[in-house]
Amino acid sequence: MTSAELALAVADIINTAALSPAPAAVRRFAPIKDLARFGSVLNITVMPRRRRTVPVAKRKYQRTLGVDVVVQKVTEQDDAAVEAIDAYVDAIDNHLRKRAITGAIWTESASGNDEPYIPQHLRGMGLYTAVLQVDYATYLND
Amino acid sequence: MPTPGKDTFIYYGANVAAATTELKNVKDSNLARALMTADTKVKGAVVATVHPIIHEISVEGGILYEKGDAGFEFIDDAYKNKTTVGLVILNGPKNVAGNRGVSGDFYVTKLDEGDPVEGLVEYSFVFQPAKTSTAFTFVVTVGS
Repeated sequence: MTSAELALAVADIINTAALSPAPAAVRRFAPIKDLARFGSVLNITVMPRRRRTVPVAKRKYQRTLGVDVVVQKVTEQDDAAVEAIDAYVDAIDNHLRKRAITGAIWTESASGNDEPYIPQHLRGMGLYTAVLQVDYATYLND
Repeated sequence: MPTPGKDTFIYYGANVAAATTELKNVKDSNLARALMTADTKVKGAVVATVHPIIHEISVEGGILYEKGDAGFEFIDDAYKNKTTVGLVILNGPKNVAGNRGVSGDFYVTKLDEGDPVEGLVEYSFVFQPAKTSTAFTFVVTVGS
């Protein structure tokens, strides 16, 4: 499994979550930059993040593949909206932890920065951006 | 060039002659080699002396559990049935000349299952030489 294939699989799994609004995750290789493209909807982008391969047995290797799940919405300074999306991100995190991907094992998830969202985006652009980093282990044999 | 630990090999089979299949999911392993000695020091000696009696060998290590792994199942069966396994343990592949190790029939005298929450299921094993008609041998490969 490649990083790109994993990101696609993760986006597909997110889209099976019973959430409101219904998720519409898309795999991209770069985040949306143009604020005008966000509109009023919740944008979920899944991007390949990292790859690390280490030996776990004499003829077996663990390749950790990471993805960034980026959840974004223009909320301005609406605290209730921020709180709701924060809970939404938690629900995505829980959903990914419980759903299996063929050929990959969920190993850990973390927020991409100290806060659960990027404060600079919220203060500067009124844009809620949460980056959920999720790692999966895949295995290779010699 | 030093030899990485991952480039060492354990081959197994029903007996030593058949020990040609690699036990692939082995993690760290340790070929413990000691020499049992007799105490030969005498009164008035300035140093404690010994006399070699017999080698003491055991193989310790871990093996990842993977459903359907023939190597693990072979070892697990040998442990449960108290039967011997033929092992050739080398610090390099058997078809390359100059690699060193041991060969003989062994019993699986320990096979503990470890289930770490943040890791993989792993069995830690100990193999000890069995008394069979096959001679225990220190091996240096000749290549092929």
